[in-house]
Amino acid sequence: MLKKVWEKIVSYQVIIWLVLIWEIIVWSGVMPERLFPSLFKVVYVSYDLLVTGMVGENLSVTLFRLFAGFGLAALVGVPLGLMMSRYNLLNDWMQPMFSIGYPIPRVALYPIFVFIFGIGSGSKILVVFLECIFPIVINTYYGSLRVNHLYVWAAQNMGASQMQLFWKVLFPATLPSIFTGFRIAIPLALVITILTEMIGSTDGMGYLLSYMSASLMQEKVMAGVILITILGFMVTVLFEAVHRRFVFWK
Amino acid sequence: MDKRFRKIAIIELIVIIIVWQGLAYAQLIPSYLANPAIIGSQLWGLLVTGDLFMNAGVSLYRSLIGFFIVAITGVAFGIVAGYYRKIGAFFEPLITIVNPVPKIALLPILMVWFGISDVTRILIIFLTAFFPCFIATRDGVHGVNHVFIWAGENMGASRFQILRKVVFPAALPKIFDGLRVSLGLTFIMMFSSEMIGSSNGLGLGFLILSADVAGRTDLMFASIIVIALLGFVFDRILLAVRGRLLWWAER
Repeated sequence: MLKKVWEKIVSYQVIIWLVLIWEIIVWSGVMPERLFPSLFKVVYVSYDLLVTGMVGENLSVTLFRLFAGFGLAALVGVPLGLMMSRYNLLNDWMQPMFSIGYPIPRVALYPIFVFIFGIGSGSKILVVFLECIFPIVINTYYGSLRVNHLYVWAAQNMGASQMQLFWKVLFPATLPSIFTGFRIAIPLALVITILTEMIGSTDGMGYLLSYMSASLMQEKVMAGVILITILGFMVTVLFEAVHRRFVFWK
Repeated sequence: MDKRFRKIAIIELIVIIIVWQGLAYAQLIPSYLANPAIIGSQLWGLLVTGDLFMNAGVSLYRSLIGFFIVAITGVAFGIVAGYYRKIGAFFEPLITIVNPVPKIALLPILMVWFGISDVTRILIIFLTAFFPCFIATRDGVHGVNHVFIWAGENMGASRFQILRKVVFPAALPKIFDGLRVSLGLTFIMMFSSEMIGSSNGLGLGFLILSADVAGRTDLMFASIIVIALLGFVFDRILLAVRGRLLWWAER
């Protein structure tokens, strides 16, 4: 038992070293304390933020934008990717758009969207949607193309109809690739949500962050970063749970 | 992208521009949104006065310096962490904790430490783009076929020789995948670090920001087109380099 704990500590030692170095810098006073607060204080402040309810409201707004943008991208992207792999004409029309659009930083359109849809959630959800749909469509498309032909032949041999072929063979076989696309899209969605909220917003975690930074509360800014990290971590855990539920054979 | 797709892409772009212009002409979209003709003339104006090159140059300078630092350190650390498992295992917890942090959230902290300067912007670009490159390189090194390494060892290659002649080339396709993701992130962060640290200076983000404040959508669209073009062109350059170096790897 003790040995196991010790092994855990050894494998995570880099964290302990970093915290130690950080605290030594704080303690020695090389950096002014206002700019370089102790990590323990930061953890305390983030707990405080969570309890006083300053975070709750903004957190739910951010979560809503995150999941709305990502959900829309998934709802549109997965069928689109599947259809592109089945219908050549659609593929001919969509493929060039996706290969041109892929390397372009689509966030740059955000200020224009603010002009059109206002500073509320609409413009942010649209940017998140645009950023997320590319990895989802591309991964779905290539995953669907690479479904093993043996499976399709086997199903056809056993007399599966077109619908059965799609729902029982093609779709489940594409599912791992679809989830690969989701795995790329989810962290991206979080980054873009926070980013757009920092550029221009009146609520959300990103707004909270830039507000606290403008009032020079460094320990609160760091606490905000920690809370956002926990949020990202929890979203990832949720995603992994869903992933295991649906792609249980891998 | 083959020739046929390129043709279709050009046709689609032209159709979009014509439809947009037509809608603007028929006044079906609000007049505060510029139409392609105005944007084109604005773009031409920026080109002639040289403002475009000034702003794009400064933005490119930041993003490319950030990207080169990422390419060098990301690949180097990735190879070390992948090849020497002990070093990799030592830093592993740090990577798993820092990687999912949306790095843009660190911008306010960095701004307090380093001021609203190029150091902050390059640093935030570096922090964002480093991890995809590092992780792809490390996984690429891990994924090298063991038969190649055994063959090298059998023929009496030293550990360093194996690294240079076997592991590095075999990991290159993965490394380029990571670099491509990093390059895309570089341009996103270039734009956003210039948008958020609101100060006057040169850069495409500032150009958009000042146009936004003045309500000049034509100027905004022109700058966005330039950013999009830069992102596209540098992605093509990276793919061309990849094609040159990796003629033996199937796409």
